[in-house]
Amino acid sequence: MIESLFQILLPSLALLLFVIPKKYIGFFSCAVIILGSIRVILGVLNSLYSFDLPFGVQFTPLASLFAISVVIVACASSVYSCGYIKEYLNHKSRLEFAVHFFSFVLLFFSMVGVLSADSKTGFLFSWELMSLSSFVLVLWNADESRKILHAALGYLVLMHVGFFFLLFGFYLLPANQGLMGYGAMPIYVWLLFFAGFGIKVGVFPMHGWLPVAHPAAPSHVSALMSAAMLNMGIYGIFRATLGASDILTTGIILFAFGAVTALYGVYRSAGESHLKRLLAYSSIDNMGVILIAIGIGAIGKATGSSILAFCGYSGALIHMLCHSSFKSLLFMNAGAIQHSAGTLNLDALGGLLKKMPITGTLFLLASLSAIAIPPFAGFAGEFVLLGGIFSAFTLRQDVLLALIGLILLALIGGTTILAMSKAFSRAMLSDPRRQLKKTPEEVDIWMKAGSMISCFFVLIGGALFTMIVFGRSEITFAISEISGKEIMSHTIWTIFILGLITILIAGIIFSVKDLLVLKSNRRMEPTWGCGADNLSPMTHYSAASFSSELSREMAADTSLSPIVDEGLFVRHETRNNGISDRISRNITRQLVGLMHHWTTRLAYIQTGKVNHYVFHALLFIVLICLLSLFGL
Amino acid sequence: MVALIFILFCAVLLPGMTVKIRSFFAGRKGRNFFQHVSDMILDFKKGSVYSSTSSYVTKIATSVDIASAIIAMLCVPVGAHESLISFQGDIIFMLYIMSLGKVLMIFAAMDSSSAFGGMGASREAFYNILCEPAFMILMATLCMVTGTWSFSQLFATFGGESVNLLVLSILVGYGIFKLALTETCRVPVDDPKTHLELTMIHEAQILEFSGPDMALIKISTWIKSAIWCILCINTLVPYDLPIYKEFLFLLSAMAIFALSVSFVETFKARSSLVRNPLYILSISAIALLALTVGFVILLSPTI
Repeated sequence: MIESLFQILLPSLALLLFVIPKKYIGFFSCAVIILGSIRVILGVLNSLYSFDLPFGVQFTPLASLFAISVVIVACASSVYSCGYIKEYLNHKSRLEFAVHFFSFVLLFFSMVGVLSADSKTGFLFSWELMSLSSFVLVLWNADESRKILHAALGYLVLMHVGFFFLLFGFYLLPANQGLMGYGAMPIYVWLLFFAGFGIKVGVFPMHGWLPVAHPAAPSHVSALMSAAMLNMGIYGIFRATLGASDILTTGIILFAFGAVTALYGVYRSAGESHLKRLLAYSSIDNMGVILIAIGIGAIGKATGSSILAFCGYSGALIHMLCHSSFKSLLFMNAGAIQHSAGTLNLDALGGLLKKMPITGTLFLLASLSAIAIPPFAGFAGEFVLLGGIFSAFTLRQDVLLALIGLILLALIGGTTILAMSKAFSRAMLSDPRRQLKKTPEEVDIWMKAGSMISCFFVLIGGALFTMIVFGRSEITFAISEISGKEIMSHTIWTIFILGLITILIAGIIFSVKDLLVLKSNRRMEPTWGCGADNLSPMTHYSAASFSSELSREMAADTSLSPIVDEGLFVRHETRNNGISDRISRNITRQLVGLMHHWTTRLAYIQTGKVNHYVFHALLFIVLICLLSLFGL
Repeated sequence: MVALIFILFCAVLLPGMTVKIRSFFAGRKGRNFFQHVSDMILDFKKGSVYSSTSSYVTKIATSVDIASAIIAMLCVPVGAHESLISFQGDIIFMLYIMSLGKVLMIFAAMDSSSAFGGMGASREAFYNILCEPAFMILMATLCMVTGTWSFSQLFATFGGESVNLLVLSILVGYGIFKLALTETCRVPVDDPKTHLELTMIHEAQILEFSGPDMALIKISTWIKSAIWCILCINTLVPYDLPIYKEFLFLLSAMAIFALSVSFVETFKARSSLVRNPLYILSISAIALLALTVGFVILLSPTI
C-alpha cells in the first residue's frame, strides 16, 4: 500500500512546480529527481544484490542495470540544468519554466516506469509518456526559430510511428507470453518490436531524428535524451531478443543492422562540423555498437558458445552504461560551450581550454573515454566485446562472425579517434577561428557540479560497471554456465589498473621534465608561420579540413551548398562545408512524398459541405454496427 | 625482464643501424653511430619554446606519449622470454594504450594552431583508421593458430618446423613489416627526412616542439620502432636458443630489419599522399590472406 502511494506521490510532487517562484523551479525539480533516484537505487540494490530494502522500485535484474544509467544521467543533468537555465530567467515566463521542468521530471519518472513495468498497458503508457514529455522538452527554444519546431514535430511523428509498431507487436504477442515473451516469441512479433524500439534507438534508416532533435533541444535535455532515453530502446530490444524463439535469426538481423548503424554513425560524426550534431551521430554509432554486441551475444547463445554469448550480452550492457556517463558529460560540455561562446560551430570555435579550464578538462576526459582509452569508462564495453571476439578466434568457433566484428570494431574505434579529436581540438585548443559572439568565461558552479557527477563515473566507470554487470550475469542473461568469466574480469581489472599506472608514469615524467627546464629558459613565441608573421586565425586548420581526407576516401557528399539569406535581396551568402546526410534526407522526402500522394487523393471526400460530412458520420456508424454484428 | 632489456637494447641501436646502412647505400660515411643519443641529450639541456596559442595539453602531451610507449613496451615479449606485463588480452591493450599517445600528439599538433600541425594530425588520424583493422586481423590470425590471446603465450607457442607455419609466419611478418613502416613514419608512407611541410605527416605534427619535449618525442619514437621491430622478428623467426647465442641472433635479426627498412628507403621513392591509403589498405588485404591461410592450416594440418 505504502509502496504504491510512493509511486503516485513522488511524481505528483512535481505538480508543485506550477506554484513555486520561477527562480527555484530548477532546484525543486532537481530535488524531486534526486528523491526519485533514491527509490530507484534502493530498487536496484534489491534486485541485483537481493537486499530487502523498503520503498524500492520493483525491477528485474536486466531493467535495474538500465535504471543505473537513468539515475546517473538524470541526477547529473538536473543539477546541471539549475545553472543552464539561469540565462533564460529574464525572458521566459514562469509557466514556460514550470512546463519545461514538469516534463523533465515526468521524463525521468516515465523512464523508470518503462523499466519497472510488468504489464503491457503500463509499459505502453510509460513509453508514450516518455515520448510526449521529451517532445515538450525539445520545444524549449521553439520561439527562437521555426527549425526547432520542425525538429520537435518530426521527432513526435517518428516516435508515434514507432509506437504504432509497438502497439501492434504487443497485440500480436500471445497472452501467456508475459511482457515480452519467455523464449517463445514468434519472429514476426520480434521484428515489430525491433522496428518500434529501433526508431527510438536510431537504427540506420530511421536515425534521422537524432541529429535534428539534439541540436534543437537545450543541453540538459539532449544529455538526458541521448544518454538515457535511447537506452530505453536498447532495453526493449534486449528484452525482446532474450524472449525471442528463433534467436539465431534475431542475432544476425541485430548484427547486420548494428554494423550499418555504427559505421554510418561514426563516419557522419567524423565529417560533421556542428558539435551537437557530431555528438548525436556519435550516439548513433554507439547504439550501433551495442546492437552489434547484442547480436553477437544472441548468435553465441544460438550456436552454444557460452563465452561469446556472455561477452556479447555483458559487453552491450557495460558499453551502454559507459556510454551514458561519457555521452552525458559530452552533451553537458557542449551546453557549456554554447552558453559561454554562443556558438557550436567547430569551424568558428577554439581556444576555450584557456578560458574555461575545468569544462575543458572534463571535455578532454570525456573524449578520451569516448575513444575507449583505458582507464576511462568506454574501454570496458569494447574490451569485453573484443574479448569475446578473440575468444571465438582462439576457440575457433564462429570465426567468420568474429572476423567481421573485429574489422567493424577496429574501423569504428579508429574513426572515433578522428571524430573525437576533431571535436575536442577544434572546440578547446588553439585560438578561435572567427570572432566569437561572447567573451568565453567559465560556467557557474551548478553546471560544473552536474558535469562532475558524470565525470566521476567516467573515471571509475570502467571497473565499476564491469563489476556490476559481471556480478549477476547468469541471472540477467539466463546463461547457465559461463566459461572464461573469471579471465575476462581479471583482464578488465588489469587493464584498468595499467591505465592508471600509465597516467601515473606520465605524471612523473612530466614533473621531472618540468624540473629539468629552468623557469628562465621557457619562452612563449607565436607559432611558426613559414616566414609569414601575424597570421590570421582563419589559417588555423579547420574542422572540415581535419576530416577531409576521410570524407574524400569515403566519397562522401562534400559539395558546397550555398545557404542564402531569405528575402528579396541577397545580403550575404554562407556556404555549408560539412557533409550532408543524403540518406536520411532522401528517406524523409520519399516518405513525405508518398503520404502527400495518398492524402491528396483522400482529400476529394473533404468537400466542405456540411451535409456530406453528416453522411460520412452516418457511414461510419453503419460500419461500426456491421463490424459489431459480425463480432469483429 | 630479459625481454625488456632486449627491447631497450633494440631501441638504442636501431636508429643508429638504420642511418649507417642507409649511408652505406648512398655511398656516404654517415654520422656517428650514437649520434642520435647525443642529440637527444643535447635536447634535454635546451630550454623550451611553446606556441603562444597553446594550452597545457601541449605540455603534457609528450609525457603521456612516452608513458604510453613505455607501458606498450612492457607488454611485448621477445621470443620465448615473457614480457613484464602479460595477461589474456594484452594484445588489444597494447594497441589501445599506444593510441593514447597518438591521440595526445594529435591534440598537441592542433593546439599549436599551425596549419601544418593540423595537416599532420589529420593524416595521422586518418591513416590510423586504416591501420587498426590490419593489426587486429594479423593478431587474430596468430591467436587463432596458437589458441591464446596473450602476447607471451602466443609467441612462446607459435612456430615450429612445419612448412605450413613458415608460410603463415612469412605472411604475417610481411604484414607487420609494412605496418611498422607506416606506424614509424618511414618511406613510402612518410619521409622523416623531407623538407616540404605540406607532405609531412609525423614531422608536421611535431614542428612546434623543442627542448626536452623534443627529446621525449625522440625516445618514444625509438621505443615504438623497437616494438614493431621485435614484433616483426618474433613472427618471422621463431627460435629457442641459449641466451648468449640468442643475443647474437637477435642482433643480426635487428640488423636485417634495419637493412630492409633502409633498403626500402633507398630504393623506393616516397609515394604521393593520395596513394597512401591504398598502400595501408593493402596491409589489410595481406592480413586477410594470412587469416585464410591460417584457417586452411587449422582445417587440414597435413597439407
